[in-house]
Amino acid sequence: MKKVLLVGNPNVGKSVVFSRLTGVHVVASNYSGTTVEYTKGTMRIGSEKAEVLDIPGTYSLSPDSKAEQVAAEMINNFKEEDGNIFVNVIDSTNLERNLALTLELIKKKIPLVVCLNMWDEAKHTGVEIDVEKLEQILGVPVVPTTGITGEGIKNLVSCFNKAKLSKFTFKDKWHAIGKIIEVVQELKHRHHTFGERLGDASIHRFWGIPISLLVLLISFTIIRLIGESLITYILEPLFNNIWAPIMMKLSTILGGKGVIHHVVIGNLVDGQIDFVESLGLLTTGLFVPIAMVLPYIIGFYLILSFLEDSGYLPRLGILVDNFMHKLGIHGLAIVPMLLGLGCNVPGAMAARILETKRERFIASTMMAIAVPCFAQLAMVVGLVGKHGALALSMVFGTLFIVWVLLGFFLNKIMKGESPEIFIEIPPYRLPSFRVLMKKLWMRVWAFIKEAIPFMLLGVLFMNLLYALHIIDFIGKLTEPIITGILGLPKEAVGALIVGFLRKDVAIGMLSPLNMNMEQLVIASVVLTMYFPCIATFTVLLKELGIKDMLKSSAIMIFSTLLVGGIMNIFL
Amino acid sequence: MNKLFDKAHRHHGHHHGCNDLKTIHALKNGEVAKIKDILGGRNFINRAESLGIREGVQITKISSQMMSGPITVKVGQTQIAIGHRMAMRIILE
Repeated sequence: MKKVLLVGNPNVGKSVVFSRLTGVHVVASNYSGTTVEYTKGTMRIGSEKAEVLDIPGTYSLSPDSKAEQVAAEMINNFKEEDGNIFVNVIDSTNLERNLALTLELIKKKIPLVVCLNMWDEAKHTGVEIDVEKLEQILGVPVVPTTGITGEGIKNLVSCFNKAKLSKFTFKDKWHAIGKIIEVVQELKHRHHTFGERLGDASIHRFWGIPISLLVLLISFTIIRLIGESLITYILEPLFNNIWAPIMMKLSTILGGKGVIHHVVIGNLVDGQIDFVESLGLLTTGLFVPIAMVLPYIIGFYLILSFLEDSGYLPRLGILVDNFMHKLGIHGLAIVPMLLGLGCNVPGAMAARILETKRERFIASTMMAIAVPCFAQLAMVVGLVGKHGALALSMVFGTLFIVWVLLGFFLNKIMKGESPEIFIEIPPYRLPSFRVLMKKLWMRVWAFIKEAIPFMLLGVLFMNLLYALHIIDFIGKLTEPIITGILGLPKEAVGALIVGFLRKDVAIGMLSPLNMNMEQLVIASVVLTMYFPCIATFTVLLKELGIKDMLKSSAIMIFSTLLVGGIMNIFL
Repeated sequence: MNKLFDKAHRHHGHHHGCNDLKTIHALKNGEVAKIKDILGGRNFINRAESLGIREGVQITKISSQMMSGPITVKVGQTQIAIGHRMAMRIILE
């Protein structure tokens, strides 16, 4: 099959164009490096079927980061006989800089189409480009598009058959670009927009930090508001008033006890179903993902997606850059951390935007140990939150301290030095409501599709462990550690085992153990730190390699025992 | 190679106090200057060039963060954040 490869600088909207061409929706954000691996889709060019590849953005064909390497490899491996074409997606507001890659592509003698994306924004910001002249000079088709609205995409597709090798030759790249720009581009003077003023204020040396604290405060308030409202007004009434009576009937039909009853309904508490403590497949197994976790996931991803698309995240990265350097990573590492807060799996993938192996190791290890995913976080809030804000701040405060100390020590111990930040800051953009909702839906759907089956499996697995007395057995074996060092009841080992599968279910398992506040705090911290869930582990193994993953795992287990032990002594 | 240069440069900076070379640090927010030279290894120069930072180009300082944090500049239509030490290698006219 013929291939269409989308190449271009980071954050020029390749993923949006890709979605338009293939109908496959991929996550696109307003910062560099959202796409860290190429994505495939298919489209029709006339009657022919073609494969479309969305390639991570790169500034040049001599790459700096792992994500950029993907692009360079794909271009360098090009063979003429494959009949593939390359679509160079360009940010029209930044023509001069984008042309640098275009000229490198031209030098590679590959069939090319140039796509002047973000055309509407260029018009708004007073950038005028003479498309015809540019086409004449480069000798390849040039098509203006606005990926977000879909404008120009049809034209782009109709030009795919006209893709050709450019005959443009040059000696000095920048000299050639200067000449092209002189002929094709006209900049109109205009006043500072509100967005630009806001942009400058949010990285101001005095105002930046207060603004960021305000943004975080507002973000968490909105997440809480969304989560709590959904739970209180919709989901809890739904479960208590409609689902509970149905389950009680089923319980009676099943005879109120026995193995099947135990697996499906779980234990009755005072003759009633307790959705948190019964631990049956159709009771706790459904209640935990749908009524405890999902509402917060929706709130979190709405806010995260908004922050991503607005362009605020890289600016937050700049504000914290100095501090993050003491931890061996630079400011942009907040991106994997924040994504990891949603789910550690995309967080581990996003570590690719960091340039060196050292940074990727430090960031991945810090995230896997001290950043709980939001599903787990929601469960901790639900369970530990009953003991008040102090208990919650002990859990998250400890994790934050561990996060900082871990980075600090890894930076001290590991050889080498992490590079300084050197990134492009995207302009502020008001996220489109339609795009935002689409992205939220993609992420929430991914959660429903991937998490709920795993949670049910987790609950089933847990029931099996209990029924076969495996938890009793392992509990006795591990008592010196679980009780001796961490001060938890020996049954808590069940949560640690199930935690490999799903950490949120594991936190839920602590509920019937009648632990006091201190034990709950320790158990929540330990469950976050000790090891990643299987999904995260698989990705980390792939990203870090066996050797580094072993090192990382050793750090996880050691730091868990250390921190849990210290907490046990002092609480 | 890069690292070697780093040390050499710091050493150099120490003796001359860097006062003879004007860098972005000397600019006020909003001030414009022309780039005279970029010091560094091939990697650094390539990276800078690909972001539009090269000899003869006008840059505007946008902001700088406290305690030797990154400096933000505008080149053409793009805003770029540069680490404090990296910014020292961009020499202005």
